[in-house]
Amino acid sequence: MSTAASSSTSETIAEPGLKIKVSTKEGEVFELDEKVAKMSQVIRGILEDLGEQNGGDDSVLPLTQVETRIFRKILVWLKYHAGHDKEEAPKAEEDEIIARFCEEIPEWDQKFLNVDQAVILEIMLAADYLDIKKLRGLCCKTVANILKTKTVEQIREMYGIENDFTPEEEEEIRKQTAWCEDEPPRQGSNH
Amino acid sequence: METPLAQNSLPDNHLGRHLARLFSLSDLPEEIMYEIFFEVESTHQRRLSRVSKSWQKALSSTRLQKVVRLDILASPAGVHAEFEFTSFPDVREQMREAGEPSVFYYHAIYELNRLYKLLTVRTTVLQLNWKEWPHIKDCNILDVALAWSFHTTLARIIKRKTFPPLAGVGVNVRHILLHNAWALDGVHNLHTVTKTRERANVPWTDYTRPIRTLVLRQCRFAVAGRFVSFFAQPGKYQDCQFRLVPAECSSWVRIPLLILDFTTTEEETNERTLVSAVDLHYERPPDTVLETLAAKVEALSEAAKERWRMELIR
Repeated sequence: MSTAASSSTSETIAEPGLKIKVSTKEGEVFELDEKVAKMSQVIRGILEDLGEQNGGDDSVLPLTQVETRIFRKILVWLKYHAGHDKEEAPKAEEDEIIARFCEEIPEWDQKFLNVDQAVILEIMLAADYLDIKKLRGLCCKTVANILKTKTVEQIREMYGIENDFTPEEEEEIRKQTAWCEDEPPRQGSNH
Repeated sequence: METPLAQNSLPDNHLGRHLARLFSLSDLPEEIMYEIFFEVESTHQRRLSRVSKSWQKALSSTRLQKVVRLDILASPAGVHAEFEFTSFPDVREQMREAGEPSVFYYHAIYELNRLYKLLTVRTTVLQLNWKEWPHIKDCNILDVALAWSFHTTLARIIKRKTFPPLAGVGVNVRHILLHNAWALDGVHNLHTVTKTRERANVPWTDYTRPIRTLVLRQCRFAVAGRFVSFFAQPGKYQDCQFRLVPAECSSWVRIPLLILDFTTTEEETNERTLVSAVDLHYERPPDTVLETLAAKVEALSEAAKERWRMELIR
């Protein structure tokens, strides 16, 4: 295992047990409780590969794609959920789809993700990199909720997306999707 | 697949610039874009396909066709406008008298046509989210009951496959989620999940009825108690298995119900599976149920308790 810079700040977690050290893109080192660290499937995999022998030395897992400011936020999320979530048995694909539809964004997570959208996207990417499925899903759900409230034009502007349809193509696709915005029959009318 | 947002041009506003930089630098994984689109209701997916060619390509993915989610504005029409709730038997009588209001028919056609455009042979999960009719501010309990009947009837029509435009389109639908979801104030209701594929060779109408009772808000607390007791006494309902989806609900206010199997006749269905809230209201739930409910309520967060209170006074 490579050892990243260890001269920077360390976060100490009060819980006893194995500690895992990770370093961010900037080289800042964090010491995590094993349970917290293993919520990342990437870290879990590395630890399993190493036979979980890294806790007693100064080895540091380098998380080279995660900036410190984002990792600090993710760490808050990990600590909270490590203390509150129960172990879930793996679900079949269809059960997972249904379960996802039934889930709302819990209040705590809503507050956690009540930040600038750019930060949500950075958390999402970091969660993807660290393979923290639940956090990534919550971010996706949050962004999806934002998309639902925006017009096509607003989305293009917000994300800086070029409209690469020709006027003819745009007219055609507008016709094809016009039914999505049709009004349903009103109460008291017969058609 | 090309990353949908990878080729963005720079936007004018600060947030947009930040996002564009983020996407272009990080090359947003296609899996994330699918996951975002997956969370969007199906008509919104169609609308979003107008954003750009790369979004159009991503949104036409066969993976996204597997699940169709449609918000339905259930119109509680065809009832006496002045009807006021007096008793549950009165509600039942009013529903019987209401018959089949013509606006239900037209509304059903409208919704079925929308479904026809969304369903494919790849669709395996269909979720119908009932949204309350936005033009009606004060739905009474009968309105809501009728809207729920409409909703469940719609699902029945889909599975019956006798409606010509739908013939064969939704043949692979294995789950129908009747998600009585969003009220105007964002408060959620109970919903049901129906799994029917195991009986694909049996006409659906032979063994089901509208599950209208779940929507009667004023008695949902009692209904919820019943469901809690079902889980505690599964042997009592041998022909119908219930379980929570997901097992640990983030909010107990929404109790999802998965019906894995149905009995084969209407009588049995009435008797065993679909507990009538009307009948249920006559009798006091067993003490064990009340105790379980009390324990559940105590375990709720303050916010969830407040939502319950809001529900009970609607």
